[in-house]
Amino acid sequence: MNDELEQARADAHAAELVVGRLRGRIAEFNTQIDRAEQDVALGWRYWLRRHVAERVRRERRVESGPLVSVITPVFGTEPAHLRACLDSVRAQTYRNWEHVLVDDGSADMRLTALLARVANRDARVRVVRHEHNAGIVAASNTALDTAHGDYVTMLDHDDVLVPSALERLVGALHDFPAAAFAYSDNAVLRQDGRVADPFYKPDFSPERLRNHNYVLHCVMARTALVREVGGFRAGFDGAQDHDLVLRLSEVGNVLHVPEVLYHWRAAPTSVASDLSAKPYAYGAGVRAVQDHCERVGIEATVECAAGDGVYRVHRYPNPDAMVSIVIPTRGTVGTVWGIERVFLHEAIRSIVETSSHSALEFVLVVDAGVPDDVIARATELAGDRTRVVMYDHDFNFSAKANLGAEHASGDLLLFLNDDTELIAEDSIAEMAALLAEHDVGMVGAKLLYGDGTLQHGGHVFPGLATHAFLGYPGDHPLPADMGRVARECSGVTAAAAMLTADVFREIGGFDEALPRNFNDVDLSFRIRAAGRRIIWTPHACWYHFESATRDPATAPEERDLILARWRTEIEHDPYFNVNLAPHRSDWLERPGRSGAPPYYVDSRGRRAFS
Amino acid sequence: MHDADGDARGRLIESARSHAEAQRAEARRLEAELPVLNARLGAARQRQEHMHRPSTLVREKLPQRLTDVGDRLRARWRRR
Repeated sequence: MNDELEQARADAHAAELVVGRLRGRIAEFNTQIDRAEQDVALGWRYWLRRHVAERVRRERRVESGPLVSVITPVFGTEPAHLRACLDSVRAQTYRNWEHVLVDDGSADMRLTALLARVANRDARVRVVRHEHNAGIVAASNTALDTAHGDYVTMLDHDDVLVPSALERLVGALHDFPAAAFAYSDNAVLRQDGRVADPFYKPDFSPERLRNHNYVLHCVMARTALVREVGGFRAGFDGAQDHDLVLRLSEVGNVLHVPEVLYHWRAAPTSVASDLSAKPYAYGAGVRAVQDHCERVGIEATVECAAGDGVYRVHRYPNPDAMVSIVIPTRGTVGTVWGIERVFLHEAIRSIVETSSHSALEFVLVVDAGVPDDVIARATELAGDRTRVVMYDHDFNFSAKANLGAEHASGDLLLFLNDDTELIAEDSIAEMAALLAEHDVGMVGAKLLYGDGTLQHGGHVFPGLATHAFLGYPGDHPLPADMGRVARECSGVTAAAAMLTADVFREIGGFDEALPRNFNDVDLSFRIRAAGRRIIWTPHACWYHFESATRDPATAPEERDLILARWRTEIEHDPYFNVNLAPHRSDWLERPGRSGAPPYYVDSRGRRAFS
Repeated sequence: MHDADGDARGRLIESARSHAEAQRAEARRLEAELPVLNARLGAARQRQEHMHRPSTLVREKLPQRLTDVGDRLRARWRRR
């Protein structure tokens, strides 16, 4: 009979996951349809915006300013692609540049002839030749040694800068003297010549940079600083840029220019078209991230299991770190996967049976009126380390969570809703390990609805708080691998959030003026205002049967309070992007941006307007 | 849920089975939506392509329009 029940439950769960996958696919379809239709809906305004604005921008000329050295190692590329690259530098609105090209032992005479021709035509172009192919690191260092500019920017031999690239990056570095380097958004230049797949990036996200090189190309750095950190390191071919930006990020601030300034060509052998095209690069990337972790004092091992440039930083967990799991509960009963459950019991049971971290304490904050047998069973499931705290007031999540924290003895507090079920065994250890970094204030987890679709992928603020990619398939990698990497975000839900008891006390806990909604938003903003980062990790994962236990409506007074207190932060989410559509959490770009701009680069590398 | 006995367990099994059946029906309904969405996406992308690159509109639509006009003229000629 037990087996029969288990089988029935498993069948119901599996059937719901199928429904979830279909719902997720429909959510993706809707994003893609909206993406296509919104440009069409703009009509002639699209053309005005794209053509006229672009032409006006291209006519600009900025003659004075610091000298910028664009450095490009050249080897084995198509001459037409190299010509497009060279032309894109010559078309820059910013005029004070030099282009240092290092011919890394090319056997193709067409390339050599093209380089000689361009160098003869424009004194700002200089070509250095290696007699033998020495690799991209050696070529980049040769270019760096030869560079005279105050700023240096790396440009691949087949990629293309947009005309305002240098102007915008120079402007950013000039305005912020403490910045070590600036990066921009980019798009992919497809083999058919179309510019597509824009990657709208967050502002600097150090944890994400450890997980993958999201800044990619078109990085402009201060030349002196690049030399100071040792330039490009030998042995890191293929990941030399990742290694360099990691080292630069350790010595200065990092700026993000939220504009597509760079088109990354998807040649058949490039990483832009096939992530497994350069397996050696990811071995170098693992070493680059490992070295970075050692330099900044993160005790971890790094791996690149999927071989596609996404790294996993396995921090060493501290098995003795005591985690107090604070669960506010009303002892609600509900139906999940066709079977009735006391939410609290299954939340506890899943942790006790699944979690790899065993230094746990359960602090149950229980409303008056919850039956004694429910409390007794919860205590039985949770074991010796259980504290039951009675709460006898009107519903106030913040007050209940604060009360639980007062009775907790652990160094770490995990606030957990009772309508959850642990999925990933290392979740608690993973979150605790992330908090070992002194400037990490809070860590959030990946939460899935019962049908396996994504409920929480970090808060985003296009408008008032929402969850990134709400309703997408739970196992979806999300654009630019957002679903696979631990990354900074503006806030996380308190349905499953961990922070140190010290930080919780320091910032004064949850605000009891927000009894139902936005209390986690307020907590997140206060943590960030105190200079701490908030990290969302996909490696900590729970089911969250959200709103099964409470009314999802938001109270106007709570909304007004959060807006009055945090309007500026809400309107400027550093981990969102101004090129993305406001009031959407699925990273839909604003209409008329660069998703598929109305120009092509023809076979001779020229930009063609059709 | 593991704590139930006898009749209660039987009811749980029945509840889970009926939930699974309801989910399968929902899956069938959602699956039927996918081809419709796929067609909508295809049409939207074609319109987007035409707007981004009007030459494709000329290349793809103009022959069709000319054929339509030819058909109408032929039909009118026959009616006379």
